[in-house]
Amino acid sequence: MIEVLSSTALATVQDLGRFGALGWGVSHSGAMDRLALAAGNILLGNDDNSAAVEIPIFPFRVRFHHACNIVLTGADHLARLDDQPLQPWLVAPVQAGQVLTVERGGSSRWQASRVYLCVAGGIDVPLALGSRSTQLRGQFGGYQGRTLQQGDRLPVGVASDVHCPAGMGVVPPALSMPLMVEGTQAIRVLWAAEYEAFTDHSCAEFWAKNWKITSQSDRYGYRLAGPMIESKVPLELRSHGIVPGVIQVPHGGQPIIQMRDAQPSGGYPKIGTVIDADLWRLGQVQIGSSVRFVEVSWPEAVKALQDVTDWLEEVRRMVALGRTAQKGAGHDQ
Amino acid sequence: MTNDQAALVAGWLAATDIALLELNGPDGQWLIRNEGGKTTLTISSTRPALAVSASHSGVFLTHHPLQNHCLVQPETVVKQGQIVGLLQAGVLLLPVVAPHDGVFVHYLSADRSLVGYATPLFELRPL
Repeated sequence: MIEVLSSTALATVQDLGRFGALGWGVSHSGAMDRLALAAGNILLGNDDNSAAVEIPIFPFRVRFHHACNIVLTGADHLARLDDQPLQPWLVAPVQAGQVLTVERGGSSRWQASRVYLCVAGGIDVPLALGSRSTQLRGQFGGYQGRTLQQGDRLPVGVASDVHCPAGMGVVPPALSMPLMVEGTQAIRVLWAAEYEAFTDHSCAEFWAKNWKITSQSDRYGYRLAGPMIESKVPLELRSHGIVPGVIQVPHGGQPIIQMRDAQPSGGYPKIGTVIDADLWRLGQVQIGSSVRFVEVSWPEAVKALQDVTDWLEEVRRMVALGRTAQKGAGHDQ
Repeated sequence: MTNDQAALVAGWLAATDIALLELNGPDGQWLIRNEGGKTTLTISSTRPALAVSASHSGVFLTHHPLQNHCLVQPETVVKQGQIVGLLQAGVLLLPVVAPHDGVFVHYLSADRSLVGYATPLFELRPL
């Protein structure tokens, strides 16, 4: 059992997402940074789809009511267990009664926004439509279908018997697979159906300029600020199916990127789609910072997705080797 | 005198008007300062420093890959099991820990240097 001590808003329980329910109007939800969640679960010997706590606002404090192993993945912020500093992306044993505090700060080489508290056994909230992710719009899934509040007590599942050596970790994917253009986080994008309906000048600006993530951004979508994107002629579309990553351009000319909690339909024209392989990068971009879009082809997008799959398989393989090495070195837990 | 005992004494001292208490033993010195009920304990060990060596090969990291500062600063007290460095092998990070309580002296291997089994990594002065 984990007790939430802080009154911080917007922390939610998330697994990899809720798939197959778009036809019923139910969005994917799930971790904004799926690689961070997956890597945390691999380190702890969890099922890949085990749920964790996604923490976007700090400080965040919880008390553990039983001994367990945890790992903080995602962004690097100042974390401590009682009064001891806690390193990100490394397994840490926790004793019953200890308090974890995560505060904004640190001297990270990767500026990111979301921390994932992964726990051996996973956050054991009930499945809803096949997922433990919080569906905020529908108010179901996760912990009582809402963001966490002070006093909430999160159930933890039974940990596997896989050996989890203290201190073992992985290099975050942002460092293993960096993607920057002129010092700005790059995000790879495919043309969407209405791309050619926008003026050549607007399309050129779309690729060439930085786009600021405005404060009107959340798990539903990111509203961007940058050059005006204009269509060649006024466009009116019937609402149609959309998925996370779709970049819509409303009449104001400032794009909106659909994120994990996005509704499954919309009628704005679409200029592009963030490739699935880069949604985790976008999910970690801080409000107020900028991104640069990089045009890719379909084969390049498929290759990028394979790179992500390969990274996860390499993490799985090396963590298994690491468990063996730590046993041999006498660092058993 | 152990460090835990010294910390206990420091707690007691906070309730007194004693401003300074210096304890000397064969293995070190414990200096407790009391400023208006707030005590600080400074530990100095006189035991010789011991080198701690790598138990695996890999790239030795004095920093966490995401951070700009060393995991431990010279002349700070570390507890047994505390992470002092990391060994990187591909995407994997393995901890290099203090084998016992002590004062971290300095790193013997450079950050991001390739090290083999038994390469000395850092010096630790036992308490």
